[in-house]
Amino acid sequence: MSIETIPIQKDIQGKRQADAELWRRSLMARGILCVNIISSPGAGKTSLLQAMAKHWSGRNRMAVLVGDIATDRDAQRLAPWMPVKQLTTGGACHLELSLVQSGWEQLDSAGVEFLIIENVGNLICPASHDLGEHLRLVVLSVTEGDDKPGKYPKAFRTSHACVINKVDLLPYVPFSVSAVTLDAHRIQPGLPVIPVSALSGEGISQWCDFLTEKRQQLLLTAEPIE
Amino acid sequence: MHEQSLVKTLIDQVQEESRIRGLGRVHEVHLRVGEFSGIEPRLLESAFAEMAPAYWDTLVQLSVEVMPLTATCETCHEVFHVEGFHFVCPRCGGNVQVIAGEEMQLVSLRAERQAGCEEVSQ
Repeated sequence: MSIETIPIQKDIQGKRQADAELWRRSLMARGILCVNIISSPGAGKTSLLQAMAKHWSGRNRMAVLVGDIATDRDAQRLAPWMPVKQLTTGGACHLELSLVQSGWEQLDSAGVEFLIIENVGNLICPASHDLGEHLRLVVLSVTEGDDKPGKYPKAFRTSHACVINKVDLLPYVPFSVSAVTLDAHRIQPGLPVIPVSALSGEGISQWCDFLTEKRQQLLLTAEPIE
Repeated sequence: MHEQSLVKTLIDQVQEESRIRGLGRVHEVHLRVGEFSGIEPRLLESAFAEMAPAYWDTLVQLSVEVMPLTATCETCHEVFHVEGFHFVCPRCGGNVQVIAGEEMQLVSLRAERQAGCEEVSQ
């Protein structure tokens, strides 16, 4: 018996990443664009989804998996608009792929074009978990302050788009859209920044067009898998 | 990040690697984590110290090596340490590609191996 150093050189998240990649490809093959929305609590993720449903009014079919630590309040808000399944994490600060997949199995997914995952309100842990999404969206509301990108670099580095919500409140709060854009672009040059108000509907059509275009791009590259 | 769920994944992986390779007692687990991996090494170490006794009867040391966040410029190919999470080339302002500092890698194990025990192919 001897003590030896045995080289392994394997990524700890390797299996999770492979599972996420498989899931991403299977959704793509079915023509579904999956969006993982992350933000701090109260930034307006659920309100954004309601505004999108109003804008599309049945033209594009969304299904939603909504994560929270407790209650099904968000699912109740969204149920009149779209198929929705509440995922309660029982205290965990982020969603994991296995929970998302079990929720998906319970959703009415016929004809779905967009699967939206509304993550637990938290700008830290969700940034480190790949849920097999095609697009990660970070939502920041103007009441949170324009210093957030630099304070939560991973959320902004790993996202593909940033929605600035509650711009109807800009006259009342010290928040600069150009300052936040500059800060976000230090972390990720070229990150699309889309100002919206889920309440008034301002900017919602631009955001919805952005998503529709991303889905069309996905369909062009999609290859059916076995 | 959620260190406990990560430690559980790590312990599962160490046990699986030990089984595949027919290893005996594990003395040390060597990890490499990136500065931008979302892992705080001290929290990882304390979560490991708390959870490991439920899986091993003997003490298993965890050594964590932190990898600096390093990028290369796509335009001028400068290699540099990313300061203040500013992902832009400090020399020419070009776009950059991260080459290290995001990893979470199980590097190696210090473990007992019986003489003549060959690794089982995976």
